[in-house]
Amino acid sequence: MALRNWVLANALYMGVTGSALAQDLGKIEAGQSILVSVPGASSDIYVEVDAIDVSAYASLENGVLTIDPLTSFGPGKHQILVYDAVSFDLIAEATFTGSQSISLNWSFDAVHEAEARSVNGDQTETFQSSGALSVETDDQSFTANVGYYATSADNFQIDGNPIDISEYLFTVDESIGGTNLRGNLGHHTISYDNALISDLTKRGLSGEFTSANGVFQIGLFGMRVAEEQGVDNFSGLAQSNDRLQGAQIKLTPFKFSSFSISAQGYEGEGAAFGSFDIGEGDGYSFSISGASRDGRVRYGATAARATWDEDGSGGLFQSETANAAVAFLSYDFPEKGLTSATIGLEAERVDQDFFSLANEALITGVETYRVTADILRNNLSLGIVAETEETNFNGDADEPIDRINTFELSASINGLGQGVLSDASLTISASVTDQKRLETPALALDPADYQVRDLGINLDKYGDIWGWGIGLRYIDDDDQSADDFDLLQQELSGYISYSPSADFDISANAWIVRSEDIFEDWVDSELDVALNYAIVPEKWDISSRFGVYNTNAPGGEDGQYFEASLSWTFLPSAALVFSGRYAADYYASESGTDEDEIFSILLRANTNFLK
Amino acid sequence: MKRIIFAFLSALSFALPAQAVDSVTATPGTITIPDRGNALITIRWRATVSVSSPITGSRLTVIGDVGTLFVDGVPVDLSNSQISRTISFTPPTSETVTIIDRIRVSRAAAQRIANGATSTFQRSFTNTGTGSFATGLVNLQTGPNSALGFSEFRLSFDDASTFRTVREDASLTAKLSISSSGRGVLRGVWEVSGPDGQTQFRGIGRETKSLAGNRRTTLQSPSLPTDRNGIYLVRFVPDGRLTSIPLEDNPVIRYTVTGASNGVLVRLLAPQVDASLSPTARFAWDGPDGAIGYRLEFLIPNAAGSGIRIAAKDIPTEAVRLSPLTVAKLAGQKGVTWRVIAYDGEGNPIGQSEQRSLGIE
Repeated sequence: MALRNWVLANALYMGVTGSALAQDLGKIEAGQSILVSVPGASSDIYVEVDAIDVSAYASLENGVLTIDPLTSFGPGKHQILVYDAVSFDLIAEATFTGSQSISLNWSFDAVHEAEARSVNGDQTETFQSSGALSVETDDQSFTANVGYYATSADNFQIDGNPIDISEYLFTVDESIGGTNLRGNLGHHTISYDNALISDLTKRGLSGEFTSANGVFQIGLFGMRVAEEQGVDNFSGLAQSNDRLQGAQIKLTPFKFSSFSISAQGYEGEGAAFGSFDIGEGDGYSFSISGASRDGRVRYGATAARATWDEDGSGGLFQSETANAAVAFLSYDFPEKGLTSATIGLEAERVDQDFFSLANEALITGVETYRVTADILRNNLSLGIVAETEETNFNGDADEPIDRINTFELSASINGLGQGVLSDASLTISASVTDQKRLETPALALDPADYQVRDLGINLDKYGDIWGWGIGLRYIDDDDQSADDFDLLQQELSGYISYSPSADFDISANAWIVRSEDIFEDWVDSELDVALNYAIVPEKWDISSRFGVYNTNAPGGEDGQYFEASLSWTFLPSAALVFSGRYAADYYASESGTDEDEIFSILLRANTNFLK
Repeated sequence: MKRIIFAFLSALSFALPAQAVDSVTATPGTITIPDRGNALITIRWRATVSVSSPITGSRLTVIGDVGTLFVDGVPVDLSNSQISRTISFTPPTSETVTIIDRIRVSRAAAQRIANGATSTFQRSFTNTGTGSFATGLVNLQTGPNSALGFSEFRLSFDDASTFRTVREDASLTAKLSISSSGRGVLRGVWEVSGPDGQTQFRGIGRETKSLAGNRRTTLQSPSLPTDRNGIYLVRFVPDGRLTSIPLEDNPVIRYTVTGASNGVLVRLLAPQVDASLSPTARFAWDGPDGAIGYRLEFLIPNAAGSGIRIAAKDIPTEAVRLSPLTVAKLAGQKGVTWRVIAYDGEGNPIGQSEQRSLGIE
């Protein structure tokens, strides 16, 4: 802990005064040694260049430190920090300018396959190719990653194109005049708060600007609403009725505290999850967040107001304006030996009609309070969640209100004493969820109370040669409504694997579930066995699997399958694979009939290029 | 305002002499949707096709046309994409083809259903080469909120992407992010196809999750197979087996495993995936021929899901312990991963490892 404080204090010190003390070494060409004057230093030092520990490539003689780096540093300013390895004192600082040639690292990884396939006698030939191109500068100030997929099979093509890009992302991370700029174009995630704009993973453009002193931060984004792949609508911003845009202004006012305050806003049009109507919405929010006591206390809160019209200008829905407030507080207890514990408090009050197109997954119509605890002690880890929730929060007065209480516990122990179980792990998870009606307005439906109890116990042991596991599961869903549609499920599962060498392994999985509702009871079970054997390692491999599925569930069907393949790696990056599969009923998924008989010859080649 | 509509199921049939879709039935016949909508429902259509005289080839495609939601007999424009399935058989015979249909019912559609007296979702099924068709109907009703509904059902890889290219033996998992309301037991199978055979899915792990109340849940798949090169698909199949579903209707994500065999990979040895960082932990790897030094990097996720380097160490060996300074920099960080880049004598990168997650306490 003392060391962490030291690093934080030093980082702060460097931020405030660092550049004034630094030696400027001027321009250093690629391959050139970097010389720093460190008078009076002992021989035991740490040397960092741009936060990379290069001590292994540094030598000290007569007060001069010589760094012969493993690889050159790119263009722009670089910072060298020299520490005493015993006291952790900063004993020298220097800057230099890297050589001007921008060095790009390229990699291209792909697989290409040509396959002739017979399904119940019908032959098809397909070609497919898939991979990604990556480019990054040495200092990662620019990165690009573009995936592509090509196939001759119509039903798998992206946007009906024989070849198209899938997901891509370009990022730029630059410091201009002390201001840090970060830009992203492509598929990425935006999370500004926990209510209005959160976990937004789509294709679009975003930028983040942070002032030199770290006090101001501005974020901007524009993103597509639909999740799509393909080159069409490349930026994600092409269609105004399938786009949302937003911004955040964030202030971290105190140098000695991570406390920050921010304001967020968004507007957009698009089809919400599962909707075929184009909706229209906007909203704004205010947040605080921060940490104190060496980061042991963390907190955050957001209040948001959003307006949403499910069908835009259509007549079915009216525009609704509603509020959401979420807050959390967590505390890490000071560590004692091998024991650590974290306790958390969370509160969510989200109106029934709250909807943000920039955080579609937010649970609405709830007033929830939650306590969490995570405890680690020696080989035991324990997690507890207790929550209480009131439904239809600020919702329609004609709708009923329920209370849902949930308690969850998960515990795992790694290593069970001596002997055969010494490196086995035991996991127990249990939960109880209970719903009770609080208010039933006139004309509202009758109470739908229930209690669900769920218990799972697993014992696993992974070894170098043998591995095995056994699991029990019990789910009791007690319907306390007038329907009384109870459901009871009991499950037993197990697996075993044997791998005496790198060239051979065999494994088996089995499970059986007994289900019982008020009308009938039934049993489902499955056994699956897989085997891999390298006849000539790196050259000839066989693999085989079979499975049996049995059920007497209403409307269920049994099934069996067997498959085997032989793979010949005739070049380091090319292989020919012969495979066959027979599947019946439950497993027959390809021909559309009750039986599949599939034979395939597949030629596979890899491209792996790195520069 | 909630209406309970009694169930019925019907099928219209038009028999033609040569080949025809004779009838279509649906299971279940009536589906209850949470009255706030956002439900994901699964319909199992069973179309009986008869062929009384030889047809060209032995393949037949049964197509379910764009589906329509009717409320009180009026189409209210719940469109959905076509579904189809191709079968092969030898005439004269009669075959039953099962086509699984998953549709999402929006809040708007649920509102329309709640406001109407009777609502049906229907598709017309036809087969290639004839004009004959049969119509399948499912009754929809809105019900109390205790029915299981989803406002999010997103399948992705562990870094939130839906398309990945990884090296052999990389650690890779998929996750399913769900926001649900109501209660029910979500049972399902994680399935993977590949590297041999595009649509030859096999189960790699099962999930049984009792969902109750309003909650967000993330289901994580077992480790996805990366031991053999090739192109793979991943899906999560709720409630048993779904077959031959058009890509756009069932979330399927693709990954490609490539490399390793030509010697450019740096293979990580220790510590293991998700192992907790201890100050004395030894980091070790196997590098490619020609490497004279390595950069061990520690990254945290940025907004893009790729990494920001927070610490690194250059070393000429294939194993190292961290300096206290590096350990201090990692303390308190969330989502830390590490990787190793190999360099040749000219300082050029010649190989790179996967990114492996590291637990920080």
